[in-house]
Amino acid sequence: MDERFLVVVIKAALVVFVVITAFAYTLLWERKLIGRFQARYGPNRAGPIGYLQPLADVVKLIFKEDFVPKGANRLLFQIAPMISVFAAVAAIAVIPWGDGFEIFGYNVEGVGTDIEIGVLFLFALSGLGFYGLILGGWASGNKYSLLGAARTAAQLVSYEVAMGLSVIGVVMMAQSLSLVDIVHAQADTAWYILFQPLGFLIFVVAAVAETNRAPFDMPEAESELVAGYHTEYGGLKFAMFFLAEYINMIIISALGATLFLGGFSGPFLPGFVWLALKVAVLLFFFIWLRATLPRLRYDRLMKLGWKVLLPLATLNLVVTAIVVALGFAN
Amino acid sequence: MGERIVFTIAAASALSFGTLVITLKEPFRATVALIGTLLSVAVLFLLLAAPFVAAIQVIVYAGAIVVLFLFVIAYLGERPLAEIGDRLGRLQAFVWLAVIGLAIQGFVVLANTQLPGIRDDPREVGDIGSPEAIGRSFIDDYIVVFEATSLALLVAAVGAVMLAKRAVKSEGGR
Repeated sequence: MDERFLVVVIKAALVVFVVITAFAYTLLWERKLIGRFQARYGPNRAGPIGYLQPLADVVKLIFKEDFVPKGANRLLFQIAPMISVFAAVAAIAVIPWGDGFEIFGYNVEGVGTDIEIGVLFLFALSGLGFYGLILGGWASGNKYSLLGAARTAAQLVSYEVAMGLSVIGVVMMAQSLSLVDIVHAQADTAWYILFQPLGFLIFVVAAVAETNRAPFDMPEAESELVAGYHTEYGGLKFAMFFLAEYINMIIISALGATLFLGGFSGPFLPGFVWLALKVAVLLFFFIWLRATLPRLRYDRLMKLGWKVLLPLATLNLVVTAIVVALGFAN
Repeated sequence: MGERIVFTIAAASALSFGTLVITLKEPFRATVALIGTLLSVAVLFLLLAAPFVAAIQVIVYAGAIVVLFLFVIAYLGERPLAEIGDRLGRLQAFVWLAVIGLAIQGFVVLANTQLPGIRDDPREVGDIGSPEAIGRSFIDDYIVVFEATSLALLVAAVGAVMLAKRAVKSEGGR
């Protein structure tokens, strides 16, 4: 199915708009839920039951003073948040959200672009996204930021290994790295969470660590590092880091839903509704974790990554490889 | 035509970032330039119809190895560089002679080469860069080399762990 250039541009703009709106309301949803978890209301003043709060936040952040601290490396300090946002937004392109359809006589595919190496593309972009945090922390010229950046580097590289290995089980079962193929393979058999429960568990734990969420939010542990890598950031640049973090959360939930929960496939409702529902469930889980668990100590975090998750992921990989090779799958 | 433009930009940025890597005085900035080189090379791989290699280039080199470089450099902090310029000083004339000689040699080779793809359009090579093609070449054509490499890497990893353990022990740790 061929797509016109104009169709691609409009589709990209629409999808990015939807995801950025989703970011704003994930933020609101998180604050409201955390409020409920702690037996208070959460934001409820701006607009009807607080639903204009994200708008108010964005306006506030845009009108704040844009400054660069004295000891900072100006260029890298400015570029770092852009790298983060670029990597997060670009990742949206390969997440499939529906079957192809026809509108006003134009063919539209239900994915930004279905590339042969979709899974690897996502990992490559998340690898680039780290640089936003690391360069930002280093360029701030602040000890807290630097420590946050160093923790980011160590934590993300450690958990990326476990995450990559947990995903390979799914890739072996679907025999493809393309996310669209993986969704179709699940529609033919069953959700891969049934065949890969251990892989899903490892994926979720690693996903929490990769997105710097509690209980793995060591890079921005406010009780010891002020705010970690974004200590010196304010106004719009801080908002960009924030945006990148939440879009990463949405992307990684969408990746989890696509790899293990059947992606956009489901009966009756259109594909993007199913994907949104599955993403919402995973996001709710992330928020629930944050409200429930205390932060891990740094050495335990590393121990969990290297001594528990990595061996488990390897075991899962070996078992899956044997089963697939013997032809029991499918 | 579009391919030529992308190639020119990617090749130029690979070369200029590469030059920055060896000329910048500050190690942290040199490493950031190294990221630029690696990404430009990844684009070149994409142009060669090898998306798998391009993705691995970004994931492994830019995404993991250089992050660790930055980690170490950020931890060690700003340190004065050891000066090696003085030793080179007397021999600088020879260095330039060597550089010019290499440039002439490269020019002569390029002018006389019969290799395909230099003066005529490159030939179609078929599927060599897809994940499937690379996986097949690993387990079919080059299995012995592949396994030998993995064994060598395993030995290196075990050796590194043993050396680190000894170092920790000598400092009174476990």
